[in-house]
Amino acid sequence: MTFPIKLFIFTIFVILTSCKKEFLQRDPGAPITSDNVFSDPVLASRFADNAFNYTLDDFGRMSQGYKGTTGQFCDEAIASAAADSYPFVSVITTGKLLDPTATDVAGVYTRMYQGIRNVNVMLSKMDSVPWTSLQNPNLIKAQMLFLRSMYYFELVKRFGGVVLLDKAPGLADNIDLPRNTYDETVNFIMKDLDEAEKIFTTEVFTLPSGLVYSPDVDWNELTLVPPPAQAKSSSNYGRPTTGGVRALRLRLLMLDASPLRNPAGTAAKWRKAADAAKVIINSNRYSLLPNYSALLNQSSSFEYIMIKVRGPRSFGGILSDFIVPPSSGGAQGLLNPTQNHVDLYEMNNGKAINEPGSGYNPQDPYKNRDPRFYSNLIYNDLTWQTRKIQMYDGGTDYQPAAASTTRTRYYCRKLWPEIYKGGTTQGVLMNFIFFRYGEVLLNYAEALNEADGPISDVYTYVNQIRKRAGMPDLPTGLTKDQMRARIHNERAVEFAFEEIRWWDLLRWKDAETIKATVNAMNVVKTATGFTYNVVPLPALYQRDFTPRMFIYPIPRAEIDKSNGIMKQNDGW
Amino acid sequence: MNNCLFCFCLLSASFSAFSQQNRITGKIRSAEDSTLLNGVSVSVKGTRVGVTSDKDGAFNINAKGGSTLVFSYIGYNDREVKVGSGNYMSVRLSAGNNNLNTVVVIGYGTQKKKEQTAAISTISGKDIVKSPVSDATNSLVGRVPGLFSQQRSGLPGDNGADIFIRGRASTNSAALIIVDGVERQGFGDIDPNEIEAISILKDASSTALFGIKGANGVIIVTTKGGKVGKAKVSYSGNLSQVRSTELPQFLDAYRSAFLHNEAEENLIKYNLVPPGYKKLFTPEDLETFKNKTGDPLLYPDINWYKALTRPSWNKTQHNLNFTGGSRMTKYFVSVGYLFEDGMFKEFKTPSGYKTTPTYTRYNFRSNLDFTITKTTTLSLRLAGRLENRYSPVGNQTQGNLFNRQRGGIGGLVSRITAIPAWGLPFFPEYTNPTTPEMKQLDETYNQVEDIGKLGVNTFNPYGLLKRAGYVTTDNNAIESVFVLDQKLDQLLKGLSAKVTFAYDAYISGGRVQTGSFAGYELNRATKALTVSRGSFEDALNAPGTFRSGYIKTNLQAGLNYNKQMGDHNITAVFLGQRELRGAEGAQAPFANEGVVLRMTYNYKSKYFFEINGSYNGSENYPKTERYGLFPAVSGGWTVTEEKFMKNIRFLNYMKIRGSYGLIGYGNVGGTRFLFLDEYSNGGGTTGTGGGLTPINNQAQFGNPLSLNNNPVVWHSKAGNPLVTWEKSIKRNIGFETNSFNNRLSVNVDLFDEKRYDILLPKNNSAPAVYGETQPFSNYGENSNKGYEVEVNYHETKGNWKYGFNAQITHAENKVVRTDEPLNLAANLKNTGYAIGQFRGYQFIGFYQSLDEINKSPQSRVGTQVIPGDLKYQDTNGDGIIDDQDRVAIGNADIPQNVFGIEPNVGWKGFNVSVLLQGANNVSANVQFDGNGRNQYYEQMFDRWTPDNPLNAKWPVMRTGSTGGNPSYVTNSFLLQNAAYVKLRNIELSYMLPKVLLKKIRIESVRIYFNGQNLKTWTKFVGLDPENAISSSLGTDVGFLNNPVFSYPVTKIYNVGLNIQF
Repeated sequence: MTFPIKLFIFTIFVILTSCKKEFLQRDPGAPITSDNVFSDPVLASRFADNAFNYTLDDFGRMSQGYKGTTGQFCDEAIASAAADSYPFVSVITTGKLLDPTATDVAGVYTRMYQGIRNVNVMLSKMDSVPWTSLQNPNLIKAQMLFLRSMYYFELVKRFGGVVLLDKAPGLADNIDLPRNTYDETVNFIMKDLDEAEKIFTTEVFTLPSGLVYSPDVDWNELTLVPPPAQAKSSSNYGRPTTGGVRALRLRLLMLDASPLRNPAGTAAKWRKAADAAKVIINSNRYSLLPNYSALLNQSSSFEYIMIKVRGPRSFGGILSDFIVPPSSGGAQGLLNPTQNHVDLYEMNNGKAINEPGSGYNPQDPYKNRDPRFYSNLIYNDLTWQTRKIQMYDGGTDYQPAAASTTRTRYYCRKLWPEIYKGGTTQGVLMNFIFFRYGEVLLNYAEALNEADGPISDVYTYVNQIRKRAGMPDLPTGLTKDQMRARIHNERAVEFAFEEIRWWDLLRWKDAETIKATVNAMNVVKTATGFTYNVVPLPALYQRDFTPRMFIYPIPRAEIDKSNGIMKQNDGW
Repeated sequence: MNNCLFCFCLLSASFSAFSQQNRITGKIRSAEDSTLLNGVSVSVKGTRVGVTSDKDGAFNINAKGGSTLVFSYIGYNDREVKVGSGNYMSVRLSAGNNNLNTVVVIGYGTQKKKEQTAAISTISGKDIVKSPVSDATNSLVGRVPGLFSQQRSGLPGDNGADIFIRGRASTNSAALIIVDGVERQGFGDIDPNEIEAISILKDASSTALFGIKGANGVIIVTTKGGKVGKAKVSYSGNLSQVRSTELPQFLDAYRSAFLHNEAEENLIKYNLVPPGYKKLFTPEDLETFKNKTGDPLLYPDINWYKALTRPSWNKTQHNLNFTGGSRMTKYFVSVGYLFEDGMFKEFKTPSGYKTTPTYTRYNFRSNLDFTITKTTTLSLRLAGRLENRYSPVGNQTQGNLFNRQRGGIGGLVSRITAIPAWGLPFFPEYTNPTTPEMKQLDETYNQVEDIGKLGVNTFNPYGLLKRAGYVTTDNNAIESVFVLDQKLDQLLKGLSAKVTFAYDAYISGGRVQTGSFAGYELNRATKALTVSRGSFEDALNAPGTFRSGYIKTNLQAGLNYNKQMGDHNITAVFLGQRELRGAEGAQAPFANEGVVLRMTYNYKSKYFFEINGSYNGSENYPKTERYGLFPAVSGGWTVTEEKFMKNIRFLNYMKIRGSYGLIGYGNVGGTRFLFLDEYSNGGGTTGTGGGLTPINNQAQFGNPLSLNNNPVVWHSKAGNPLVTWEKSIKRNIGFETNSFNNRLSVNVDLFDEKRYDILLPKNNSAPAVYGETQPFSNYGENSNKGYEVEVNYHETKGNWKYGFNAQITHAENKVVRTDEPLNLAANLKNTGYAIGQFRGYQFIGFYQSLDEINKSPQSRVGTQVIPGDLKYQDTNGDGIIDDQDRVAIGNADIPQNVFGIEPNVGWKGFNVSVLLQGANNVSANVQFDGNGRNQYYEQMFDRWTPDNPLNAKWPVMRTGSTGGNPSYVTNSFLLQNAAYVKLRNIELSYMLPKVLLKKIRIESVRIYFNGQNLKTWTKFVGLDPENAISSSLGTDVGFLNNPVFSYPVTKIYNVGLNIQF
């Protein structure tokens, strides 16, 4: 044979022999498989921790990560660009809840079920993980149950009854499932909460170091007085504890007792809610932070029942691109409190601005108001960041031609710590609070008033809130209806911009307030001072609200995906 | 080598013929330049007698008087000459493609055109160099039937055409590229002077050998080899002037301010702005703009596009190659250089970088063929490439450097196009400062920004260009192919073996340096400028660099069999191949291997039958699903070989052929290993800017001032263990005819395709309660069908030579099954429509009054409608106009029909060819809105006003900054017809007479003028219609300043010179 033939035969030989080596086996090295994760207690507990990632845990969240709050859906605020290129608010305020870009509808629906899947997968694997003494499976289970309750609560609050899953469906499983009823959903959540509470309140175990460890207490170590001699678990601050479970249950019961879900006004439902609040009060773990204006900026507080733990924020994201306008060195000031909200702040004598004897001067409207007014809002002629805010026509801070500046002549101070201005790098904490004690008190007062009328306990707890704010007590002798109005007003002021107002208005079925003409302040500079005029905002910023919106529609895509099994809410 | 095989057959055939004959001798020349042609096959018609011409173009054959000699040569038309009384013939062959004996490169081999049963088109290197383009993909446009293309950008180094063979049967529609027998990632960066020919394989029969990769068609590029003969040196040089084909028409300050003012008046009138809204301009301001008497600082009138770009720029290209060979060795050695400049003006930058993007490329190639023994040949194809792409970094701070180049320029152009003439001042006299005083002026007066007027993110484009920095990337490639061919006649007559080994190495690297610059705010009252943003850091930041690369090997070994037994001709190819291509970064390499088989049979060159098939697999699939079988059958019948056809004199040739087969496509949008089910460990950390915690973030607990970031584990990939490739069943029927003495040829192909098992996620069809994205699965299905017609006509009369090539292709695809909700409203379903079909609101008129608005269905599109806005059809009749009312409008984003016609005329040394190319049934959603920055365009003057209520060409004016404009969503009024006809290419050339050149020992000199994209006829307004084809089919009107199409497509005027020694 000639050389080339030999070479050819040799080559063929090489090819044939090398075929054995699984030439096509090229997939990346050693992927982590399901078996790896759930046979390793560390990885498994990390998988459990991932379930926390689905919580709704910041103020701005409707668009681009950090823009748009629920307050902008109602009378609390508007989005200056609501009608412009950022439709994240207008999609709700114009009733387009079925639009796929309505993040609070379709986005939340998807995100909650993702969280629920994470929880369900974890729960189904609990028994197969070889846990060691470093983990406590019961605690993991309790957290999973809490998170599942939280996710289902976010769903039931928006949509009513939804598909209840206590197992993660497999690929082959039929997932075109009918919705459970509202009651079934509430019961499902209650059951999870009860189980979680039982674990949290009873679980005590001994660490390998010999320390006795009680997560319910020790996870709140940052708030313990006196601080523990030996740190056990301050690194777990921010995880749910009994308080978190109870606060979530209270929210659910408040929803369940409110007109939206309790049209007959059954007192028993309110009493159940009041009892749930009282349990938290009686636990004596929580108290009000003395300084209302620093509420969001604490690393820990007795008022916090559960917060999203997050480091100090730098100037960027939510601050520079959502809260702080160009006139203060930010890019966009899209969160503009309304005149409607401003008008809810009483005078510091405890009288509403339109009440006789309040002393309210429409031409000096920012004088002598509820101290919380000054904590929550930025308004004309306020000295802010070493200069006077100019909200008047032609002023630096009012540039209506630019889409990204205020339309109402207010900005939100609560979410804008004063150190944040253009060109700075300093940061402070600005916590998103899941539950705080102040809410428990006002929930208690509200529920008690609905159940038993304005008895003294109602006054006690509302006045606790008012006292902390620096406001006089409520006048005595209020009727139940008057008390209700005062509590509703108190909540609007106390919880301003804390993602509570919109849900309150929905559960109260308060369409009038949601639909009310949205007003702005018109400020004109004169030779001697300013003139103030309350004016309605253009139609663009007004609300298009119909009663069907008290309960969100199931995202249209989900109905379309279903073969007629998933039913839409009434009216949608 | 191909020639050898072919000659070999003919030579052996010639021995079998014997009769009483005359000896005919002669010389064969090219009709164009009278060069002597070496290797022309000369045969006696109706017999198997044949010889080939030698290197002096001479031949010597025995033929009966009265018989006909057939001359055929690659790239030339066949010529038939009757043997007369004389024994000497001087034959001239004219260039063309009609030759049935042309050897065409197909998958893993070659085949004569007349033996083909598959649908294959070819284009010669000669035609490719007619287009003075830097990216060879653009040369194919309009010259090959079945080929759809779009050139979307003119950015130097990134201006190739997207190619779709026979349209689009799947969203994954990239064709497979083979260069010199080996798969490559592209061919656009090969020096066009190196290309011998390109074959486009279109049907099942021709692509079955590529199995899992072949379903989108295959483009086979063959580079030039040496030819036996004395050494030839050839130089070609080109000098081009490049211009943009079409630019949007910007308004001057007055006209733009006038429209803005009207827009603001409309908003005030309809209460769409907050109380106290002050218009941007007073009547006096407008008057000042009109009279152009304003202070240029306060009343700028700047066409930013013109301010920063130049009307034309240059491109140069040089190639020098040496070719020749002996019986033992043949060589083709080529060196090429290309430089392409960019459109931005060259401003002096403080840190010394250039402000215009450029593309520089060096190509090197050495193709050698050695005849080692009588039976052994070795071929070597060695090519190298050095590419540099340079650009100012513009406005892109993220992503890899290649994306930053593209995106950064896009961001820059978008800032330029967005700023109205009255938006920002600019003083060209301060640019390129020479003194500190001027520098000071340049840094302030030319750096003004105005968020209040123009919206956020409106950086000063001059600042972006001059101070944001630069990015430069290098791409180096070495591509080599070694082919050893061994005849094995001693084992079995007709058997030969071939081993191919390819080794490619790619290295890319780059550097980016960014700088920051200050924005100044202008106080209109005091004219004072104060810093509003950033600062100048004229020393650029420390460079960021990257380097990456991979190696690719390919091995093929197999047997060829070629046997003639009486009237029966058999060939067979059987080979195994495997390929390993490294991935950049830490990814697993790409691997594929398999065996291919082709068997052909023909009887008397009349009836043809062919089987093609491959059994191959890829690393991308689970162990059990890795390999697939892809068979195809085809057949042909040369009708003109039948006796009953002999009477039809005008018809020289007619063949009917058909093919049927199954092909695969396995590359799904870069997502690999879809069968793997994976978890990931770790997780991101929340940015300090806030917002919802991103999914898969580390869980944060503990003291917020000393956070504990707890790593998490998440299900990062849902695997589908049954995942497999896309499959395609293709059918093709073709008719080929040559008539009128081979002057006219007409080819017609009818094709259809069923593409199924398309890998899709269930993002839109699986209920969200599942809780995560379901894995990709094979359930999509599309169909595609159409036809191609190609007509060639060539005539030589004395010194005149003329003819044309014309072609039309129609391909229409339809989505049969895709990822859509089960009960999606019919008007929203893509099923039944073409891939890329536009969907939007159906325009039914303008709202003429508030009264009409109130009486019409409620509009929930964008913000509140006002008179003059577009009124849309309430498709589902629910009394509300919202996204549920959208319907299919216009066409898809790639054309359904393309055509090209290229007439040419030659007289002596002169030659003219003109290529007109067009496309229709295509839409583009690019329109001119202000994109939040208050830009206005010429066409907006035909806007709706109460005085122009019916014939308006544009909706009522609203300011750019109100966004949410209900009229600026994709709708049938604004969707543009992107059909066009382009003067795609023109070439005028002159070959200097030989007599002049002989004295200076130059063989030939050819000078030419050619041009590309010189003229476009289209209804499309504002941009080049190809440039404007958006890659996004979203509900918004495509912004003019979308980076995808922001760098204008170019036209090229070129002069060139070609000298051969």
